[in-house]
Amino acid sequence: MSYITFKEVSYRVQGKNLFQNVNLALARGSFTTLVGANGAGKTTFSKMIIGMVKPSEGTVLLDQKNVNDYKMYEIGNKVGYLFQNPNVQIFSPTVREELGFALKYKGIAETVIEAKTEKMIDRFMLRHTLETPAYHLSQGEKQRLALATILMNDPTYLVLDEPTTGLDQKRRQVLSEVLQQIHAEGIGILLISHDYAFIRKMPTDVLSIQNGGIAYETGF
Amino acid sequence: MKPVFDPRVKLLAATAVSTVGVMSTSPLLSLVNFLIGLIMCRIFNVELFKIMKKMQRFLGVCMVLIIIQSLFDRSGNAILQIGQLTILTDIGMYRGINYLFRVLIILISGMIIATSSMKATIQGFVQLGLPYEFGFMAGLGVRFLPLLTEEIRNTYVSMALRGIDVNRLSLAKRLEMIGSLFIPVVYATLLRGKALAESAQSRGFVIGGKRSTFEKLKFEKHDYVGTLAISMIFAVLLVSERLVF
Ligand SMILES: Nc1ncnc2c1ncn2[C@@H]1O[C@H](COP(=O)(O)OP(=O)(O)OP(=O)(O)O)[C@@H](O)[C@H]1O
Ligand SMILES: [Mg+2]
Repeated sequence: MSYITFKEVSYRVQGKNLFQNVNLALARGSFTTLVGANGAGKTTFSKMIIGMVKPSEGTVLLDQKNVNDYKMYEIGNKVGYLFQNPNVQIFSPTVREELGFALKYKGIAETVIEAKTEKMIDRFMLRHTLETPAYHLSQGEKQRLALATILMNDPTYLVLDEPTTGLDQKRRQVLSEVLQQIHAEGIGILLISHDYAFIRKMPTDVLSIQNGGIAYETGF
Repeated sequence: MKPVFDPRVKLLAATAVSTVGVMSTSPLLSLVNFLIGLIMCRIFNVELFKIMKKMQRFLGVCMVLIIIQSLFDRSGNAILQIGQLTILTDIGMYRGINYLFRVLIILISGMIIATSSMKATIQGFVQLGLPYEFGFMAGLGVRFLPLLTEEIRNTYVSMALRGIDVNRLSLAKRLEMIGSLFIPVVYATLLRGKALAESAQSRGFVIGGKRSTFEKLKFEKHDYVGTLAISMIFAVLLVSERLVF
């Protein structure tokens, strides 16, 4: 069953037709990569999924309901969104506080938060950063922290806007493994990436944006 | 005679109105915020009409874009129809109005800050206990506030997406959470300023070093009153339930 659905979606910005009558269905638990040139509209497309960008025409459904009919926090409990720039999504002075941020406000028990936090720290290789103020982390560390924070919320679907930016070869490898694990756990993924070497290793469908349309690429 | 306010009070005012402006999804809240912005312009001696006149063309272009944007927005119910053709929908109009206020409020914040000299603004930061370089970066970054709106929007959406229903939080928790928003916003501003400062330095401009210091700023009674009033007004606006969350 389709979890994210685009129905006849068009989007215009500054007189340009970025998207023209796009129809697309992403199934629950699917793993899809979106490729396209700089400025093709990848970020714009992904922001339509979380209702942050509204289509000029057509509708976007999330879990069978128009995305506009949700409150933002309800969307957040379904979809984890990693922004292209991780600086915009770190709110706490330390890595531990950042990881526990949402759960704390949701009133989850301290011990549960701690256990989950420790797991994420290991999974994303953040242990050496625990004493560093979150703002002084490297780009790659911030990216990993942001992704780990999103996963603390147990989303059904992940949307990742170029998560390999700023990662070295080893971290890319780890990310690739983590994404495959996440997928194996049944969480759906929409990955935005130019990094063909990175994509090729993974069990993902590839969608490409071209001339205002979106089509599956073959030959992967 | 009108009191002259400390640049730090103006920074607070500008941050407050632009934050609410960028976060609001309700035309009513945007309107209220805009009116508060106008009142601030009076209090801080912004020569609003002079500046508006200078920016006439820019504002004109903005208006046209907003009208076009409203016309093309097809969501919601039609409120203006010619035959079968829908000209304007209610949601389209709301979004247009909201967008207009957003642009205006960012302009207003810039104008408020610009009523103090750059030097005084930097001095303000220095006296908040921050190093001169930091003040310099922030002084520059703040001038680029309008460019940062997209980043600010990303920030608050990213917080909203943490999945917390703020209406179920106590007032204190709500304020605490919203307070965390300022961390990335301030940080983004500083980063922008830092990049600019570095590029200025690479062209031979020496930051810090020996330069005649600006005379010390002092918080007067009206500055304290202003700070208190701004904090209170915006605490109320920020917890009004019609925010994006
Ligand atoms: N708010 C906006 N106002 C004006 N133009 C916009 C806006 N948002 C996006 N655009 C334009 O839409 C196009 C697509 O932008 P988008 O950020 O979606 O591209 P992208 O595929 O993510 O690019 P990149 O690979 O560089 O991240 C760009 O040409 C951009 O300038
Ligand atoms: Mg992008």
